Amino acid sequence: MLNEERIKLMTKMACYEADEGRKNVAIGSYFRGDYIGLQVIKSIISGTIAFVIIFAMYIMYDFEIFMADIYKMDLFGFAKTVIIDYLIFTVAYALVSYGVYTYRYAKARRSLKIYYNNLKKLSYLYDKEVKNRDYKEI
Amino acid sequence: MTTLLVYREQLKKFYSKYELYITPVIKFLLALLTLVMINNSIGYMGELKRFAVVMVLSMLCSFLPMNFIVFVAAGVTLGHLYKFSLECAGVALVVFLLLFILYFRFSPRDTIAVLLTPLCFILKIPYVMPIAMGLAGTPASAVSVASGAIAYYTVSYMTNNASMLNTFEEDEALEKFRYLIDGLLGNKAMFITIVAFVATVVVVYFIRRLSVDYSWTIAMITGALLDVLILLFGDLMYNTKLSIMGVIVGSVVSVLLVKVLEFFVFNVDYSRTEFVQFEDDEYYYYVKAVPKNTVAAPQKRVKTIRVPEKAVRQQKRD
Repeated sequence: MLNEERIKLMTKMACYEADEGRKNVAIGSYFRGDYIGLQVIKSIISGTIAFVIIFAMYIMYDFEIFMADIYKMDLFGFAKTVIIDYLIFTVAYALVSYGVYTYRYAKARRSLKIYYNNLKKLSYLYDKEVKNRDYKEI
Repeated sequence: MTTLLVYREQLKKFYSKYELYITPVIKFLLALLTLVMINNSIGYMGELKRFAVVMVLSMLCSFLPMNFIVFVAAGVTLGHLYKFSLECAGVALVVFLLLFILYFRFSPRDTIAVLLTPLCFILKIPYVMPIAMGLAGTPASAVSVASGAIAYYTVSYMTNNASMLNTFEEDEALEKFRYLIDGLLGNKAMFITIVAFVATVVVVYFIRRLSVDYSWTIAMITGALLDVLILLFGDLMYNTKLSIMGVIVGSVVSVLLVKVLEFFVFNVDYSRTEFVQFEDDEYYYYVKAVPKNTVAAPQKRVKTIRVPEKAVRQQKRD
């Protein structure tokens, strides 16, 4: 027998799963620390790539002067400033992404809570249906 | 007004019924418009301008995700610039890559704003974007609009200085590169526009969330005025050769356009027909869920005021 109430609930949940739910379920499968940690690591990697690109542009811009001065300049000092710049850039970027992903995780959890409640309701409806059927058979 | 409301309801009904076909058509038209505009403004590579290529790319965009249009647009732009000069393509590639790496990891949904901003610039109504994004998005949309402005100014700087860039010899690649970077970093009009747009998005967003009557309209007008003010102030300070009439007329047109958008797009819930499938122990379900269209007919409330008979008699006696 078709149970109309159950079908309505299942349809609603399937719609959620197909749309925004898919992303939220993926986020919800992580622990909070794992999810945020992973995203921050990804941010650090992309921040590093971006820094390398910007640094390469900077060197290319002054390429001739840079090549002429390379034997005269304090390479150690230069490396130190570059590394400090890199750290400032990456840490700032990682902090921003930490904030963004913390917010997103909390949001996904909140949205999933309703979904899990619906799952409970569904299982309850299902149990009730099975019991009713068994009762009729007896 | 009533006719408009009825028209909107019809549009809503039409969309929820034929959403399956309308979305690809809209994507196709957007992609086509984008490609035609890019080809018209920087059409250096003949191969990319061919009718067949444009059509095939637009068709591809019509059924791939929305963000694919952005990639296609970036690719075509780079192709044209590559034909023009390798250095320009390199600089543009770096700008696009940085925008992509640093920002679009966070908000893939906003990517479309980056595409629409340059399009609006070409149509001479860029002021639509910050207001529209402030109304429809979040303060983070400011970054998207700013990215769009950066992309537009980068490419337009190259095309505007095409004759100058052509005077460089083959072995002067480094000078050409330096000239480009200097031009981009010294482009005051770009920075002022970015400041104006970011401020507009943020202000519009906060005003439209206020719980006052007509907050959306107030947000639009305040946003447009702020935008004009910052642009004019920037023009006075840095002499950016801004056309004052252009800014004012553009802003007025933009506010009107956003008002139309508000009526037909932002405040309307275009819920669409959903097709889902699932199963339980006994059945497979293939469900088509059609949204109920509740036409909000204005309900008339009749309030009868009855004067108690006693009071009437009292009055007569007096």
